[in-house]
Amino acid sequence: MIPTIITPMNDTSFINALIVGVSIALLASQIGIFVVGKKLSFLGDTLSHGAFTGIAIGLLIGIHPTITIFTFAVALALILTWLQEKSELSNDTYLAIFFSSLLALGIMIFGEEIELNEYLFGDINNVQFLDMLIAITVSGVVLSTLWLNFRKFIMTVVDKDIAQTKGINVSRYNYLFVVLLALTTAVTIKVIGILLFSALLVIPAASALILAKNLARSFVYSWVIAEMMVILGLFISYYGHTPSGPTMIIVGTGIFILSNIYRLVVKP
Amino acid sequence: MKKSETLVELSGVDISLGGKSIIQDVSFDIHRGETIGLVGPNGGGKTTLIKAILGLVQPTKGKITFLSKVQFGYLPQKTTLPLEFPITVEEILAIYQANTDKGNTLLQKLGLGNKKRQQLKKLSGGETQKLFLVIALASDPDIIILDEPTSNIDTQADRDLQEIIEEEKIQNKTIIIISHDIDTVARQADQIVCLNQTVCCRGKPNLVMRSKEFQNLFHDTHYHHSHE
Repeated sequence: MIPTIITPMNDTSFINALIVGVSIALLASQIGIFVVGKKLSFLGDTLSHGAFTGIAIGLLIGIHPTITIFTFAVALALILTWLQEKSELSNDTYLAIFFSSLLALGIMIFGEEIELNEYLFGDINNVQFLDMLIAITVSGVVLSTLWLNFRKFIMTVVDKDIAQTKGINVSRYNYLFVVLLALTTAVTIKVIGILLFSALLVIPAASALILAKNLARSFVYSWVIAEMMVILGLFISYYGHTPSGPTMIIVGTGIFILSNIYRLVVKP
Repeated sequence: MKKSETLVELSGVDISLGGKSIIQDVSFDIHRGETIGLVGPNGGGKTTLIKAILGLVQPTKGKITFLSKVQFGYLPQKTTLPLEFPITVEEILAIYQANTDKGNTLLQKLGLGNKKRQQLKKLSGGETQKLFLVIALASDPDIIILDEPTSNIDTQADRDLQEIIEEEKIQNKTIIIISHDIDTVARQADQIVCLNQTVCCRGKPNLVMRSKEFQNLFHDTHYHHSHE
């Protein structure tokens, strides 16, 4: 057994993928609980498409894509939240419009130069040192902000009127949350692509919320499931010669199905 | 009797929501230690007025002035629980810092003492309302606002609630109760404010309930007959 495990561990690109994957999984799994609880999964999708368009614009105007992807994701998150607060149209309507428009714009700018595969699944096996550094730093910043304001974020999810009467500026925390989500999106999709981002954000959180007996455990379960997706997915793809991103998603889907079966059959 | 300290002054308050006028020209004072019963027909603007006092809705005209710094305890008519969250009773108490001695005493009194590990989504409507009553009162607020506190609860819980309100009154707390159950409100309130877009009548319960405006407003309802 030992020699077969050692083989990928001697491979630098595999190790880099593992490091960046593990840190992104922690980040996505924790913010994902709030995303599912606040019913913002579709916002996550829209932000990832918008952030991708940010890469395209960066390449078009000759600015480093890392800068444009962060700027674009944060600006988009703020605009969408502002529209949601001010307009009478439902939030889903705006998200659907932005979702398709940004996807179209990104593809128009990239034209024929992009591999659709890379767009959807990223390339975790080809992570640059700078991307790794940014991923770990942003994960640290977002997670510490999330945990330092944990009680207040939960209060805004439970009942915003009561939160407001307890002196919490609900609107300010909503904006802060979408900025954290935008940073998470920006740092994640460059490495693992749009589809894997959505999967890592929603699947571990949704499975954990099904399984957990209390909120504290749901954060732990979500983290464990996200790490299982990344680590199992990477090993299976290494040995099975399957593409890493899709393998991780399928591992996650398997866990989600098992969670539902457990909930429905074993512990109704 | 010495007039008690004024905490809040409402003067000429108008509120419109989405272009529709909900409340017009409402003026009255709220004093420390006073219990106000806010009554009126559905759509009369009771909840909107409460939300304006809480700062959740801004008046379009007029002013709501706080004459001293107050802390609110608010029990909304409906709470918007995230049903996806497996949050438990003890977790929600911790989140709202309601794990105080007072919070725990109230939890026991209202029969939720053995439900601390239960998830909120598995509580009944009445139990959820009791839990949020505990949250509203646990921090020992100056002004307690209860929006239809008896709408979901059984007779025993109703009696417990009356006792709890009496205890808060002894502590000189200011209480505003919105209720359909005008008999109960009349027994507890020092002042009744009858709201139908504007204040139709207000004053001591026995006087208000005999007034022509009040009887017109609640004509043909049990409120009218039970106090004729």
